[in-house]
Amino acid sequence: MRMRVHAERIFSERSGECPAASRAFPGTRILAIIGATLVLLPPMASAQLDVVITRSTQRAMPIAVVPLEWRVPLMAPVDLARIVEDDLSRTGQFAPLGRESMITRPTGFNDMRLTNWRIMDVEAVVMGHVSGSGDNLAVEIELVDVYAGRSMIAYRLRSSREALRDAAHRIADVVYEQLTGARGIFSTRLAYVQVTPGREQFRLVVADADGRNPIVVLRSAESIMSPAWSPDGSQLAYVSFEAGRAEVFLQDVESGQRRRLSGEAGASSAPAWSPDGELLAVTRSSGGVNRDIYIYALNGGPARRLTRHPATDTEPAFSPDGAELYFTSDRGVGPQVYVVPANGGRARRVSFSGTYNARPRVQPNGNQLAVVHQQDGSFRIGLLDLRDESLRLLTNGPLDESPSFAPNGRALIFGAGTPAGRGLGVYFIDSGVTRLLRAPEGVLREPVWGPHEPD
Amino acid sequence: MKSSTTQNACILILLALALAACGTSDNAALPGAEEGPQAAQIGPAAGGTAAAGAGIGATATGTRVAGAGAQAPAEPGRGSSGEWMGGPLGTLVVYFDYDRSAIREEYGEILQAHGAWLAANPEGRLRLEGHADERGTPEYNLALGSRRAQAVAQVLEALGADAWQWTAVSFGEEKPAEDGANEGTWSKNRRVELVYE
Repeated sequence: MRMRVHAERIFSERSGECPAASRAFPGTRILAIIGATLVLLPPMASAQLDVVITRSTQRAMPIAVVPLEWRVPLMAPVDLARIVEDDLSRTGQFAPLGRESMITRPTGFNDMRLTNWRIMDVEAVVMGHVSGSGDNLAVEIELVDVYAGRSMIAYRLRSSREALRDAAHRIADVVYEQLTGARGIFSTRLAYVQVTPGREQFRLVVADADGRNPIVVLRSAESIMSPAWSPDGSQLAYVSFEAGRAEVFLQDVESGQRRRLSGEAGASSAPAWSPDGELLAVTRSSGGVNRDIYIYALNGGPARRLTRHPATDTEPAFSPDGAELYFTSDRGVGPQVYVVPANGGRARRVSFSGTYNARPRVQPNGNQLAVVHQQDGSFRIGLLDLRDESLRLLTNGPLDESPSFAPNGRALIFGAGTPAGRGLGVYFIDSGVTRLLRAPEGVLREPVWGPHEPD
Repeated sequence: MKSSTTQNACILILLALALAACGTSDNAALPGAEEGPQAAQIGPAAGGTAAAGAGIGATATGTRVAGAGAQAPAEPGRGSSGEWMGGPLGTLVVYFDYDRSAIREEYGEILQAHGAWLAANPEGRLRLEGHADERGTPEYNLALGSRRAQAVAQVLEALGADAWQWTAVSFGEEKPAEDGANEGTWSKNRRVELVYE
């Protein structure tokens, strides 16, 4: 049973503590009403994912997320402030004040004493209240800059009871954007493959960015590989072995409707969407074994062959402007990353550190590639800077793979192959913090971070 | 098993070519690359090994042992009553070095026997299932499994099999014969399974 819930968010600007506020924080003035669509399904049989800290942070901004005052007759189904706090602290960029240390629990700028927070060294306070009843709830929030002594943003969000968790993620998105300048990613979704023992052990799962609310969108007795979100977040392309060989399928996430990409003979894999969602780059075997990259127009028509080389060409990824494709090829010594114009042409090598750099994914700003780098038998996620060809290794390995950028480019999710087992790792670029998500049973693989909700 | 010095010379040249095709990288000895296990004798005894790795899916060899006898005429390695004969024709798995698709010299006699059998049995059909260990990216490993299956096919064709007698499919790292993150396990997962149909 699917139910659609519409959450409207209305922003209002706090009247004039400081006239410069809206200039200093351009995000303050958000006039649009944002309509969001949620898909709510019954929770899947497996339990939630665990979240484990695997590396401590550098310097995190001290903040306080005050428990929201609940002015609704029926008890609160979720702890909104806790969700906001968890979202923010997970990035490693924020250190929330413990509730036991809060001397007072204000609900807005007008009823707070700044000195109470200054003595705790808190730099920003999030507070507010929830009112209304039933499925007509209003969540009102204010964010205060403690040292400047002014309100940065105040806004109201309408939500049903069931959508409160999503409302909390949206609050976290706004706070994150106000405090860092980068768009928040807490309302986005993840897709990954879960492999569990038993029959139909391969599952394609869609979950919230914090790993909660996992929804199985496909179960199969055969392998599922290489999921890829369409740019609008409505579809997943992936590889299924259900016909006894690798083939690319496209599936509408909400309706579950799916189709095979092409009826042509031969295996196909490694689907990658163009930024406009109109093209799908795919690896196909031609002449039996040799793999090259082909481009399909999703509105029909024959596939266009993009690379033509006796070596293996695979793992394509479009550049953010759609003009180029990065891909893995072993045409040199070992797999390396190359780039080729999307309209065809000569491929140029872009990775030069070591003997194994594969599975490129392009940062949304186009500056860096996330790659899988192998050195001394250990596979780690690296950031390859396209401007100076430098490579920075982010993870410890030894079997890390499948990096995928968050849509704001400030975090990566990857398949974490640690000595303790396989899970999903999230690496936050600004703090250097890695988080691990693990399933209570089975293995999690091939995560891919979904896009922002459309405006 | 019939074999002649000419054929032996042939297969050595083939193997040499296959090795040379990998160029300099073949001896580059990537870290972690070690010799795999010797060619496993897949018979009733080895069937237990295959079944032990059935966590992800029964291997083709395991299935075949279970179905012993039924397909005897279309399958080498069995006697007239379906019993396993052992020897080169009873070997249905070819193992590979890490990140390599070159066929190791020890498989010369084995592939020679399969190639000769296919040449002598035009109705024989063989599915070559290529696999990789879990290290490296899944899509790259899918391509690697494909190259391994193709490498076996090329040798078989050169030894008498016809192109229409075989098909190749790659499962990459998706169907390990054994689970576990160590070289002993990985070496058993880098393989091509010969499945007679």
